[in-house]
Amino acid sequence: MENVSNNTVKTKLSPAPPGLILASLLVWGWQTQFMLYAIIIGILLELPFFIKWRIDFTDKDVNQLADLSGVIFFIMSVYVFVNYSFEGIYKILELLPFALLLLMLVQNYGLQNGIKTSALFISIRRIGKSAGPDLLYSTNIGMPYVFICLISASSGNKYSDYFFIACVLVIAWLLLTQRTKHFSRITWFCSIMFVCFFSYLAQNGLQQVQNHSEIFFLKLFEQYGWKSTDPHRTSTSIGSLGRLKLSDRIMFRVKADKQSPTPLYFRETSYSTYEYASWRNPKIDLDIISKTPGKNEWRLNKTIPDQATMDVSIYLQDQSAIIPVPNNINTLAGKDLIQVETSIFGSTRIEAREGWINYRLGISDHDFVDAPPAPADLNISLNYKPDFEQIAENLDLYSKIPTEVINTVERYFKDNFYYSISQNQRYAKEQYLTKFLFKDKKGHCEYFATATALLLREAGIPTRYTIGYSVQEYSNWQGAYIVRARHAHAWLKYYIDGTWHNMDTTPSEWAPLEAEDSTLLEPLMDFLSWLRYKTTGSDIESETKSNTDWMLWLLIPLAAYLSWRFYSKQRVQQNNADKIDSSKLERFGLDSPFYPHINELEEYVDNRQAGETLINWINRILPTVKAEQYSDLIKLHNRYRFSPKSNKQEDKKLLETSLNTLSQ
Amino acid sequence: MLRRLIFANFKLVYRLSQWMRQRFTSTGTLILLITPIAGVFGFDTRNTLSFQIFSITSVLLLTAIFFSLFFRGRFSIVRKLPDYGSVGIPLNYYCVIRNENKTAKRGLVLIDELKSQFPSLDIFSKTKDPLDKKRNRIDRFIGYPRLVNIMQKLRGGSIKPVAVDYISEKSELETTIELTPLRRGYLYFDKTRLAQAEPLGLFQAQKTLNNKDRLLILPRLYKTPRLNLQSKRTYQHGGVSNASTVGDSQEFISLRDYHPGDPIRSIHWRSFAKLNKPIVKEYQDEYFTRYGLILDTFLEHKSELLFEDAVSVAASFMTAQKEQDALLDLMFVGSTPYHFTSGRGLAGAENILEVLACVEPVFESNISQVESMIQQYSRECSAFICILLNLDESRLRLIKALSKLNIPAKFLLLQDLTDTENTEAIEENDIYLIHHDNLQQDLDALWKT
Repeated sequence: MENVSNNTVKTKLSPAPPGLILASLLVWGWQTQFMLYAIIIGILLELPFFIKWRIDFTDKDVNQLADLSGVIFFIMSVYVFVNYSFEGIYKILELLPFALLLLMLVQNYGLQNGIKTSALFISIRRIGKSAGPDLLYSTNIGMPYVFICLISASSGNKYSDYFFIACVLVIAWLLLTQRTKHFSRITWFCSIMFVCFFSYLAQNGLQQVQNHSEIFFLKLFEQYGWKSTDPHRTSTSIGSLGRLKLSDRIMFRVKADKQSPTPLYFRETSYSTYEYASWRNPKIDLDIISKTPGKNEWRLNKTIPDQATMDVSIYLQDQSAIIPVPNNINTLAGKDLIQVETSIFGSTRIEAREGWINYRLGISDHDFVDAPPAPADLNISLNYKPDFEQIAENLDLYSKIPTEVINTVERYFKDNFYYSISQNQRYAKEQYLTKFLFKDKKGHCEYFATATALLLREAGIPTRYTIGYSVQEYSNWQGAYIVRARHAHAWLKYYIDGTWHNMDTTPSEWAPLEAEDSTLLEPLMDFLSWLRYKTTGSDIESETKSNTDWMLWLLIPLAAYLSWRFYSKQRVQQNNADKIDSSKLERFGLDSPFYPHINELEEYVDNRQAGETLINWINRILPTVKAEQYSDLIKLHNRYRFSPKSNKQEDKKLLETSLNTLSQ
Repeated sequence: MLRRLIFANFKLVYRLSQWMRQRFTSTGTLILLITPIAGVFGFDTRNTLSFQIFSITSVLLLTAIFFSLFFRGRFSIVRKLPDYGSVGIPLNYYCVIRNENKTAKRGLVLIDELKSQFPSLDIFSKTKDPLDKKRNRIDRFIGYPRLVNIMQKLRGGSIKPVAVDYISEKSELETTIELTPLRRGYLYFDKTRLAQAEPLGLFQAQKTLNNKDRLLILPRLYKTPRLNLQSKRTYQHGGVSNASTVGDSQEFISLRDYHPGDPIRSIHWRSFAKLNKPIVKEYQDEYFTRYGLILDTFLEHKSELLFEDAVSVAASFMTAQKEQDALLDLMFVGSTPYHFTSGRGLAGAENILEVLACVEPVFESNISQVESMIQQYSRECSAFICILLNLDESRLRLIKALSKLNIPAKFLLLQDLTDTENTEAIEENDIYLIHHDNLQQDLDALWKT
């Protein structure tokens, strides 16, 4: 029978082989434009393979440095989040090798050659030695760092194929050092090639899956009511049962003269054709507005000056979006804007960066956007034609001049209809508008705007159904009008005397009624929204100076505060530990005055052996007569030290006096 | 409801984590952890290239698992265990592996396993983990670290896997395995696995062999003082049969007439023949010292560490007594009241330790059973040592009952350092405190007092 020694299996991670960390850092530097830093960090981390000196970091040192790494990571995350919002997660990912650098330096230049799990998790640190050996042994974080570098590098999102090859090479290098020795190198190489081939297929497959699934879900959303501002088509809630749920979310802010007549109507787009609860326009391309040379400004008419300006801040979820603008817009200016387009139906589409952006609107006394009316602007679907003919006849609209028609229609809706955001009756799809006109006589803005637009068309006035926002809530502390999702509104434009005019027949109580649904958390949410707007927005004019730079200065006191908290906590802990120690001292009688005497005896006579009792020791080192003198003293000391019945103060005094007597 | 739901998932999580620990090598585990991270960041393939890392690591893992399917081999394993082990002291035992294949095998890992039993929700809820105080609220609430500790305790020990680099064909190989017992009582060995990593070194193929066995782990022992309770020797009913050479059993006093019931072997045959009536030899009554050691097993809400300490203290006392003239009676209540006598001619220290190795705490207090045991043996015992876990009313009643018997008694109370309750009662009844964190020193001090 053969014998084998107790050869335990390696269960901890091995250190990364020399050069691997540098290689992974180079991949990171190449992908993220941090090449110089990558080279410096790489050399710093590889240097310990060639030099012998090491620093003896204590556990406490490592814990503190790990905490400091945590603080650096936190500050970095805050800074990146402030500057890049949620998109910043990729930026944080990109900066991870920096955040972990301190820990890597401690590991590579320290004697421990690893980082204990307790250094990374305060909860384990609190449990201490009882946490079990697995959690207290050092783990070499070299190989995890290699993978972190690769994942960080992936955020660079460049040179897809080369990056794949680089990753395969780095991972293969890592695995080569870990390969199972009882298989040949050829087997290992074949395995790696097998992995390369299939992982290349897999990564291509993943991209394909995403493409196909996106198309599939887009179709699904389009089919089941995707609600967005489409310059060509909009679905109304006419015919929707139940109560309209409108959010308090702030959509945009407008800085305008507080004395401006309210409500201000900010239009997103107008529509010309109505059929079955949806308005639409013919499909036409938007016109690109040329940029004023040397300025971040787009003017529709370069000769007519602006009469007023408004500053708007809006959150863009996409780089291209239809933005709400007031009538008679002439100028759009802002450094975040890349391109501006307008349509003949009054839509203004911009291309800009995502997130909160600011722009300035210049208003003139002319409408340069909307095209003059077309036949479609007088068209009424045959389904509704008889209804509107009946009303027009009743109101005698055919015989009136356009201005009288406008007044009559306005009065008609004001006197006979009231506002409601609930629709509880169920009708055939095309009957909702008819029932609104003749039976229910109540509805929300879409009912009023649609009905008014069609009634005016019946009277021969061209109209367009318009959607956008009614700007009416002025926030004194924010110094701007705030426009919420529930301020979304529908009205109409009618064309008289060669100009388009706004008309809103929705009863004015619509806004207070919808505001009733606001939540108790609205002020808090407003504040958070304002904070986010303040910290992530940018200036309208300035090209270079970002108003988030002040956040950098904020980070300094934050860092100082965190460091102070960190060290003061340690101090407090230390003080507490001292207190505990002193209480323990007293409790266990460790402050017995006999101990200094023992030290003296040890110094001048002989040391006490391990496991030797006090009395045996005294008997051994002192003459019998002297040792007998000590026997009562030792009993007293033991009582003070161990007996729960000991009166600590009295015994201590007694011990002190006895010791004094003895020494005299 | 929530607790039940969380607990129901523990089994799955625990098994999964055990499977991962057994199957993946350290590098494999790292890649296994990196894969979901790369997956999360690479979810949108247009934002980062992390999906490429995800692809590589996933294919690596799948390839490793695939290659592991080709591990074949016939082995047999015989385990050679020692008679006993002690809590906390690593012990070595041997395993003989026989390679029954026609080819030599390389790069094997021998993993011996102790049987692990998943606790019931009731046991999980009742078990207190002293480390919980130091844990954060989430860990305390979820309770998974507590479960891991319970599982470790139920398993009873940790065994280091052993690398077997080479074993030639049709041959045997003996390996030494180190086991660190974590608790007393029987440890049950369940399966032995032979693992071999695949070429990439990420995943281990395994061959599992059923190999059941058991090993008794004795309680931890401390240095204890020799008992000196100023007791007197007492008459022992039954005399010599209980202790062949203890006491004065062979002291002849006189001859007397036979009384019905006298044993035949006491008849003095020569006098019988001379006087023609049965005469028996009369011996001096049996008098010797007999200590009763009462172990409190009613743990109630106290920490199990205290109970372990109590068992260790009891075991230490039982093994420390080398007095030739004394017997030591161990009394405790488990599912029923137990009473064991040790001493010369009776059960030895090993037997008593075996008993103590298997003592389990009782969670519902029933001190009256102990009281009745004391009443039963009070006439025979010269002194009592009572190891208590708590000092509530029922125990105080027991102390008073013992005091009334006028038999010397020593009361030891196991306590945490932080426990400062009942100080008056402790002083009043002359109870000696033994602290969990200071056990040996307190026992040493007991010696001195």
